[in-house]
Amino acid sequence: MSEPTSGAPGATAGASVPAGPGTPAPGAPGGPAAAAGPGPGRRGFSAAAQAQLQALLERYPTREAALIPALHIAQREWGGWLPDDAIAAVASALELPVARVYGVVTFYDLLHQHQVGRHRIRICTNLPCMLRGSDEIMETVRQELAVGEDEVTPDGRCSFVHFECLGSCDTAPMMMIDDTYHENLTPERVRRILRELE
Amino acid sequence: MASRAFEPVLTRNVGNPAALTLDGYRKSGGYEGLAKALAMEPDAVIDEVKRSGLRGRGGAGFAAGVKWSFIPKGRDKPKYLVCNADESEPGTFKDRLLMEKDPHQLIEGCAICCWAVQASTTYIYIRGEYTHANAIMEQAIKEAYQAGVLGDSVFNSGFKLDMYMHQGAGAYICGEETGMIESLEGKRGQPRVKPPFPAIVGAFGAPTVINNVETLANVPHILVRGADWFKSIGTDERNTGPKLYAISGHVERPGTYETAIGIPFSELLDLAGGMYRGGKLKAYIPGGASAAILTADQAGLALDFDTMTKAGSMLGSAAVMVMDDATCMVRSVARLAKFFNHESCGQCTPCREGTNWMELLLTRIEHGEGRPSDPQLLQSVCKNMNGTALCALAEAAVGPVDSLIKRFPEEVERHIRDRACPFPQRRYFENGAS
Repeated sequence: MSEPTSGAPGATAGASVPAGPGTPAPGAPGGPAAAAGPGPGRRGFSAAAQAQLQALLERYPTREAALIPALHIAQREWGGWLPDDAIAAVASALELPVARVYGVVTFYDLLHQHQVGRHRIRICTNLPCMLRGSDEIMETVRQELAVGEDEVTPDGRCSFVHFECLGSCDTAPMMMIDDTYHENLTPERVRRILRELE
Repeated sequence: MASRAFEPVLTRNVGNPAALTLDGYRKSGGYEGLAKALAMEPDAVIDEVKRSGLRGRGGAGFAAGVKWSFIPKGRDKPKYLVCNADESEPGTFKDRLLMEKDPHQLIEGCAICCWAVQASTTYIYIRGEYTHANAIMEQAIKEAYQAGVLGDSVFNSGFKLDMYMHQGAGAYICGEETGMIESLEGKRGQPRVKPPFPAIVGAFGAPTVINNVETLANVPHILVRGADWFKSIGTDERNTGPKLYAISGHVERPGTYETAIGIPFSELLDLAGGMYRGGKLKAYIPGGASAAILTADQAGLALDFDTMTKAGSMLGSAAVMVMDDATCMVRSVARLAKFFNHESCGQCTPCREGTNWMELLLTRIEHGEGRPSDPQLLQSVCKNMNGTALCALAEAAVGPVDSLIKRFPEEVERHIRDRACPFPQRRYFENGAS
């Protein structure tokens, strides 16, 4: 595992830099000052994220307790997933071994260790949604995006997975896109929603 | 429409968006319970909640007041309240409603609990997927700080109370008390060995109360209207108060319905508009994915803690999932088994291996590849999972599987004998997906 970095330019040893749209060219010079916008390819937290992190630490009696909230922040900063750089930056900020952070990342479904689409689509397929047609919703999404589950569309726009109960069984079938619940779905609505995504 | 009239208590502010603000909540009688509690001795608050008979609404049904009384007295060391808003039990969506529609009710319940046990901090552990509920709670907490309801001196009483939202990251096991504490501390959500119980050694090594959202939402009303009022609602003295039922699946109007605890399933089904598209009831699961399946001839049973336990199931989170007679039970339970296999945290062998075998066996039966010995093998797996793991997840996984084998043996056997699922693939949408 590479050392946590404080933003040394060019220190991209071994880290695979995803090449989604809007991503700075891999290896582009970018010291801390140049790292203004969030997104993959950056080496550390933005100033805004650092402030958020600092505020978080005041909530808990231990630094470690801020780990999961910090990983949520990191995931937003790194374009929806946690490359090694992100994990190292969190470990460094919370003074934890990288392996401890990695262990936590692998445990939770909302923390991703591989690249995801700009829009992350989670389709509830647990029993209450299954009893209202979630199979057909899955089928529709698969056809519409023309990629397999957990793959990213060639334009980097979307990735989808089936998901466990999202607590919206009264509006089944449903799916979650990024932070938004889409409820009472029909195949036709799903197609419309997917086509309208930026 | 309602076969038994019930004036909503917990959901009285659903449909009153003004209650999202502190002022609006106060106008609906809000924060009177907290004011009353602060004028009482902490122990007197615990006694009132004990006397009400309020039992935990998260699943286990443990008496809330008794739980509070386990917390060591005195203010010499920190104590915590962790509000369980992880709501991940399949079929359950009531706590989301409470947080999204009446956030101050929950804040007030938390504050009263903290006063009763003299805790200085509440963490509301909310599942990571509930981003909307989280935003509403954050806003309400911010407003409560500004108004002096939270902070250095609650209502100028000198009582200091902090309250924070803490977002999880997608793991069912974090709804288990000690899994939740581990997760709050920044670790993998793997349940702890008990004892010690959280009341003695909980979050950050300190005494900790863990209560479900709905449990805490009841507390302000108990303070305002009294334990006797609360006890007057329900089936009997062991099953008291208002209750939220989240009903889903094959019903016309799925949703959260508030009634006195102990409404018979058949009446709840009526409230929910009856069976979906006029279907015929085949089975229902009364308390989330962890509860044993009940059959149509058990539709008259009261949905309370003791009646459900006596029937070999449980009230659990009161997430009622309804299935009509075109539903394949093997397929339904295979889906739940897949869930438990995915969510087992993996630290106890019987659970890690057992949930895997359950999914494997049920999936092959559903696909027409089951062997005649499979039902027996499933029962053996169930037996080896009961009481052999650190937390209740293993037993939860047994609930639906064991009841499938016992209550629908012919359906399981038919899958194996015919080497195929006897139910045609069901389409819910006329146009299909293409």
